[in-house]
Amino acid sequence: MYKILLIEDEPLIQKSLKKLLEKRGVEVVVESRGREAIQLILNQKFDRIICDLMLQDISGFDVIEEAKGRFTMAEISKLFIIITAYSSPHVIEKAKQYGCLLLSKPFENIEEALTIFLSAGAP
Amino acid sequence: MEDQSPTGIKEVKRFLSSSTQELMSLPLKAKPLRFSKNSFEKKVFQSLKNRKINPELEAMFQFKEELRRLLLSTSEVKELPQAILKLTPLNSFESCHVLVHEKGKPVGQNYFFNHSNYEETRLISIPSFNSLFNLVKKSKNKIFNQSLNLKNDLDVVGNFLAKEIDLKNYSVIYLISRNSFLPPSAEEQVLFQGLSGHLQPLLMKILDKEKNDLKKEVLKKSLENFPETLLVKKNSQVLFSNHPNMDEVAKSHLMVFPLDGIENTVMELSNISKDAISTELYHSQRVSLLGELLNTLQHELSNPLFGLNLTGTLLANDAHNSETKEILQEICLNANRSQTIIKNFSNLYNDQQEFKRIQLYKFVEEVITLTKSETKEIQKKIECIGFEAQDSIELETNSTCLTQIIFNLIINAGQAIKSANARVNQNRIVIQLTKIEQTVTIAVIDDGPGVKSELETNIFEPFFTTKESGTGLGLSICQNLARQLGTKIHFQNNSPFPGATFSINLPLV
Repeated sequence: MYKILLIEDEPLIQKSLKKLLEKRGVEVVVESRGREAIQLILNQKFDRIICDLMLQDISGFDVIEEAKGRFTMAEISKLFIIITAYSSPHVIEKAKQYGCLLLSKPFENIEEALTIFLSAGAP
Repeated sequence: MEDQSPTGIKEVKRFLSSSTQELMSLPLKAKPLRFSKNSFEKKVFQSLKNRKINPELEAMFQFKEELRRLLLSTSEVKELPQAILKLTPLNSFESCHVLVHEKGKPVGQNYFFNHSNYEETRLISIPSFNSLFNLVKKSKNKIFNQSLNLKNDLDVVGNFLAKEIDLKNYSVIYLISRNSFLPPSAEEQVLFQGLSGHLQPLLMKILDKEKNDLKKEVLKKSLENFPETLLVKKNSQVLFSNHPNMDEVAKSHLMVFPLDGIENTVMELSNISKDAISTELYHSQRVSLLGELLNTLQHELSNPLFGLNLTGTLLANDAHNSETKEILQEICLNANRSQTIIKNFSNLYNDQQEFKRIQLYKFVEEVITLTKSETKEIQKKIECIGFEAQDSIELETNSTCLTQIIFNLIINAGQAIKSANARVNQNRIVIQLTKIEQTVTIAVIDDGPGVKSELETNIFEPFFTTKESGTGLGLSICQNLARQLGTKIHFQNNSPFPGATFSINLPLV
């Protein structure tokens, strides 16, 4: 089964997205802390990682940086999708460096966002 | 060959070679006034009178003379190591350090000189300085050797003499070494320690001067690099300017600031007129603060509002009870609305100076929303006229500037109405759009008391206000902003009905 790790610290968003994704028939693991998320990434297999940038302990970019211990840059660009409410030019530029897709919160169209989460990732 | 001895020594020599007769003829009565009882000079003089030559005394006299010269001629701390080594009794020493720490500074200075004429100034870390200072302070005989862990900071081999001087704002250590393992003699120790009493006032003087010089240098540099032309004048004479052509600048019209505490001296600033400097500064500070605040708010609220919306939608879809479903949908709508409002506000106040396309009707609507809280205690009716037929009027403009102009005009209109509350009027503010060829005029019309004709010319002046708590900046800022948009705000009193109309004309897309 398609397995997704959702790293998001806003409880309402976390719960809703989990439910919406599960409705589409995928397994969702949720985590709100960056450090714990890193452990999960390094020790489990996920088909997709959806990562918020503003976490309580560390930033989403730190999480991605740690993932380099296990994945190549090419793999990271396909595996990770960044979601953020703070899409400044600086953040967008940085996301580009990792080659990851970036979705701004709030999503304009939820269904579209869900489809992107289940797609093959960045081209 | 000319005698190179110091003046005092020359005198002594002359005395010694002179006859008793000459000696007796000296105006001795005057002398005791200069010599305190049992003073060193008196002893010298006594020995001269007795015609006994005392080499020890002569050496000491010479030393004092040298010391006096050292104190008079040294003007910088970095000259001090060399000057100390020049003193005849200390001449056999090889090197001298003077270490200075200005209290509170993160690093100290280490001045060094040796007899091979090698001079150096280095930095010394505060922990090293403090450990040495405390060590020296505790020591009685002030003799040390290099077994101390100071190799990196001091160029000494074997024994050295060191003494500390504690000043109000500085800690100083001076230190001499022969670079050998022979201990210094007892006389040398006494002499060396005695030196501190002489050095203390000298150091106080030159260290303070050096600090002041540095301050002046920094100040001068910053004045020289000040982005506007700047003049300092005393009694109309130019003392300083950062402009290459002083005379030319001196004639131009500058903004004048008197300098406190210095008589007849003023500083003048060019380029910006008085109006521009104060209003623009005040305004840009306010806008950037507001912009930042709104930005932070937007991002902080975005996340939870989005969460609310998502969850609400989910639950609404699952709800079986139609009332619950309706309530949940209402929650979603409100979360969405809040999100839109905060987003629009931060767009209105973004700090970008660029022109972008705006829809005038939507734009004015948002500005009116913005004014709600500031005018909420004023009974009024805001009407928009002329929008209906021109639903899709689009402008290319800086929305931050235009927002503030319209915002200010509406607030002013509100206040005008309030001030005229006792009179019979309808408390109406009208925002009227008029399209003339390729331009549109936005007019904000109130039915307040209007502006007294004698004040009409002043209303755009900065700091001009008729309100008790006004800053007098609102309209002058607006006029400045309008200038940035390439236009002007026009004013006229209404006729025949009372009230005022402020309008701004802008080109259409």
